[in-house]
Amino acid sequence: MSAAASAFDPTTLAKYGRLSLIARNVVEGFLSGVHKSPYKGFSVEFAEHRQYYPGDEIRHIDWRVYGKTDRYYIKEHEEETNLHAHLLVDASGSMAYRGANPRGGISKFQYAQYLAASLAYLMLHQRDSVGLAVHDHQMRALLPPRSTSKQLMQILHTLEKTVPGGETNLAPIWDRLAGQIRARGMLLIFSDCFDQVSHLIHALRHLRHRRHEILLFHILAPEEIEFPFTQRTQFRHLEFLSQLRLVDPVAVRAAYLKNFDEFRQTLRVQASNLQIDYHLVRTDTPIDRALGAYLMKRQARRF
Amino acid sequence: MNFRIDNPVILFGLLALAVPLVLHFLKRRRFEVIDWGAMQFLPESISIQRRRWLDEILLLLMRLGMIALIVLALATPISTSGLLGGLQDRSTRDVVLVLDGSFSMDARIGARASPWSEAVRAAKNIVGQAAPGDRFAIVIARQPPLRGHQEFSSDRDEVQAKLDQLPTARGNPDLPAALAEAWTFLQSRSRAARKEIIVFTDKQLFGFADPPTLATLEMLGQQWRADAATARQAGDAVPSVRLIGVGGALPKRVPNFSMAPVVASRNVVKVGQEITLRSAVRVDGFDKYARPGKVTLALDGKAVHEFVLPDKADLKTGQIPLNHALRFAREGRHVVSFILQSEAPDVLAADNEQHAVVEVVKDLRVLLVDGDRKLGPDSSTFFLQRALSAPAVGVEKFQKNLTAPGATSVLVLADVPRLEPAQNEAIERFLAEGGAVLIALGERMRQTRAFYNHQLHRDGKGWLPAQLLEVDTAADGTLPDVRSFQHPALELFRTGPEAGMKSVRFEKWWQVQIARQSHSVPIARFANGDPFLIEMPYKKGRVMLCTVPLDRRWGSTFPGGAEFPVLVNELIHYLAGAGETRAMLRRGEPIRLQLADAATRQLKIKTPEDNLTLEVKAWPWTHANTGAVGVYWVRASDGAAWPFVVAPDLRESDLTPCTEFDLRKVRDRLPIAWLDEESALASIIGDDERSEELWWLLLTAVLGLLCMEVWMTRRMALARGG
Repeated sequence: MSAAASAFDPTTLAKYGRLSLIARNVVEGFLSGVHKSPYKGFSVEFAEHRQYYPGDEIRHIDWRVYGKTDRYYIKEHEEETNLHAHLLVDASGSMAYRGANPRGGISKFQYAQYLAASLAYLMLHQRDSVGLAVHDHQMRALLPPRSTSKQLMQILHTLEKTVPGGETNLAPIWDRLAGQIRARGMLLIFSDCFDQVSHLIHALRHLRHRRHEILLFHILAPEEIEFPFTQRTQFRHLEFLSQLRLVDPVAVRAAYLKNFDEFRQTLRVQASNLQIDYHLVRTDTPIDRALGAYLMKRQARRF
Repeated sequence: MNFRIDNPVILFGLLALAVPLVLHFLKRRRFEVIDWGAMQFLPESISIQRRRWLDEILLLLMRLGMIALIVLALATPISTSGLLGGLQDRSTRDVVLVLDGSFSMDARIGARASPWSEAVRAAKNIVGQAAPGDRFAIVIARQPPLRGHQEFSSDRDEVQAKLDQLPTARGNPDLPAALAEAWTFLQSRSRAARKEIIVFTDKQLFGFADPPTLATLEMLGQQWRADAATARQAGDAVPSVRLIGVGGALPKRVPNFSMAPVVASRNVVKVGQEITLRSAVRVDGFDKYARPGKVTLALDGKAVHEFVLPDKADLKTGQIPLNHALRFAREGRHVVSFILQSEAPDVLAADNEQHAVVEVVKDLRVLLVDGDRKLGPDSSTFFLQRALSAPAVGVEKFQKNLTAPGATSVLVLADVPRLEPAQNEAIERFLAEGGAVLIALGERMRQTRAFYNHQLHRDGKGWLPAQLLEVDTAADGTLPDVRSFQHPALELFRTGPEAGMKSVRFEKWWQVQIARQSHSVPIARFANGDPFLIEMPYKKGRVMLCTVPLDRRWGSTFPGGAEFPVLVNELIHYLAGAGETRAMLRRGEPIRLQLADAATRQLKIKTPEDNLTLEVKAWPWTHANTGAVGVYWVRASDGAAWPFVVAPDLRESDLTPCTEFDLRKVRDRLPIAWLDEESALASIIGDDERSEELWWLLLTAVLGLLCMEVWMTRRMALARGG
């Protein structure tokens, strides 16, 4: 693994502790590699000055202030953001899965946290307004999109205090959200989508009907994709702890993989049919790849 | 017991079976617990798991099997059963049990069990102890040998039951024939890796190491050696012969009464004619004479006379002679029996009866053929016609009478100079069917001597008993020597007053020469030693040659004397009986019966051992099982009955045991081993060669299991990987 890649390794990131730090680390590191400021769409109405950061366009430097203070300041204007983004984070019990090594790895939910936080950070720095919805089978928290600097803190705080648990029942929640989110915008969904595919597609179709652009980050643990177990294993349901199943993984592996691949392929194909950007995200892949996926989408929207 | 283990301690290694078992169950009890979100994709069906579980159980069983088989193989299991013989193309051992069925085996000495019952017990013991795959057949050594099985049997119970059902020993001895039978049976019916003949016999000298038996064994030995060489070349097993002595040691002297053979003065008599029956009670092995009991003379099984035995007798002569004159009222064959009912200790029972068959006829069917063309007082048959009350025919006319079935039983050729070829052929056929011929030589033969010698004698191959040489003469004549009259037909002259014969003179007589290989026997001689009467069996018939004419030619005084009709009648009666009546069966001869009424399809036969009803498939009907001494009655459905007699060979009553020297003589002739019962049994049970080591079989099974295990493990690994 290269040094750059290791910087975004989710397990390494977890060591940073607070989500704000992680998000900043990820985004700034990522952007420094990109060498291209994402800031665009400044309006004419002045808002405030702020310190120059590498990557800001030179033309936005307030040379007048430079003359006075001998420092670079960027002259910011009250922007009318053209993007309302909603981060939909699945906090159901199944998202708490940490992989085969529960002590060392991060859970799917943590990955979703990092990803959502990083994206929130990035988007808010781009002056996009970002909202957050955390849910399991019911809505746990809902922050309407704003582009204020406080919004990031609120998002991060909400994410941080959320503990995954409860039943996965995504479709009704997304359905409900489709009704609640009036303004057309971008929906970034972070979920393992462990629900009935037909229900999910139905809900996604509803969201697409509202003209939202959707990025579906299908977060999965590598163990869920590969099913590498060999010893006799008792699988305990993360959502219904009383549900236990003692199986011989070797015996059921083929059948499991078939079921799982079928589910994934169906979801991918159906999502693609709905012009939803489907991204399979393994919790062992660096987070910046997901960011890259978002930026691609964002740029496509600009152009 | 089919298997045994040579190193049973190694079987403790079976405890190692616990290792895979424990590992299996530990593995089953240990499992990981994983908190899992993607429960919906775990298949609901448990059939997959069950199949996997079955695979695991199979794998476990294979591993257990491998460990168990390796431990068993190390413990050196040995199969003593012949079941594994099935792996080879042939069974491991075929055994012919030869039981001496001579009547000496039924000897009752003191409180001892008879050698026969000992032999049966020993044979059953050996059969019981032998491995189940071994096959057995039974042969009873007697005249003729009796085969207990048509095929080898591996069913031990059946063989033992058969041994129990065997008739007790009451035959005449013929061990060489039984050995030959067993050998042939093994060589023709068995492809076993080991072939054995086990003989159970008392240690009697007679029938085993006496000179005639040794001579037969010598020939048998030569045949066996040739057979063995052939068998070795063909890769077949060569039978081994073991003899087991049964019944303990025979004492040198055993007290035994026996009846001497019955001698009838003639075997064919006319109705009402008197005959004398002779026998004797033989007393052997007694230190002091004890009255044997009583002797009954029975006719066809019914007592007709009881002899009173003397209270004192001279043991030096060894026998008490018995005579009785008897007349027969009915035609047919009759059995006369001398039956000793012993009260004193008697070792052998089978020799206490002697029987003879007498044929009673209305007329003697004699055909007199005269050499003269015209019959008259000077004809050659003139005196014969009167003596026998029978008609005579000329030489050219006799052929028709001879060929008519049943018309003639004795043909007399009285000084017949020549025979036509067709006549000669007719006589050959007549003799071949059991007829008898009496030839009286005479003057006419001088001219036709060459014809007689070349056509009828043929250097001993023809039916003329001797070659004609010259007519000899003596001035004062010669007379018959009565001392040479040892033939049963001449008994009257031997025992009667000699005066009659002394007056007989023959001035001329034919000198004859008996061929060296011929069966001809002079039964009466002249005083100068030349043969007077010569007898010869020819095919089934009998020929008698009289070297003097039976008329007055050549100055013979004989035909005019009182002895002439007696002698002629005796000879004719003898010939009539000896040729045709084969009722006294000798040396295992089968019963042979030819009935005029060929429609009879069923015959009942009462033997000394049992009663049988037998189908007649073809005529002449034969019955080969005549091994038991005694009377055999064959009855047709219309009540007609024919008796046959197998007389005990009294040499068998002599229980003299074999010595080491005798045994050596037998061993010189035949490859045999003499064993006692225990060592025979030990050689059968403890024979390592015949037991099958199973380690190779078990290790082959381990290899098989190993291949299966590898295949199965690989299959499961592939399933895991896939």
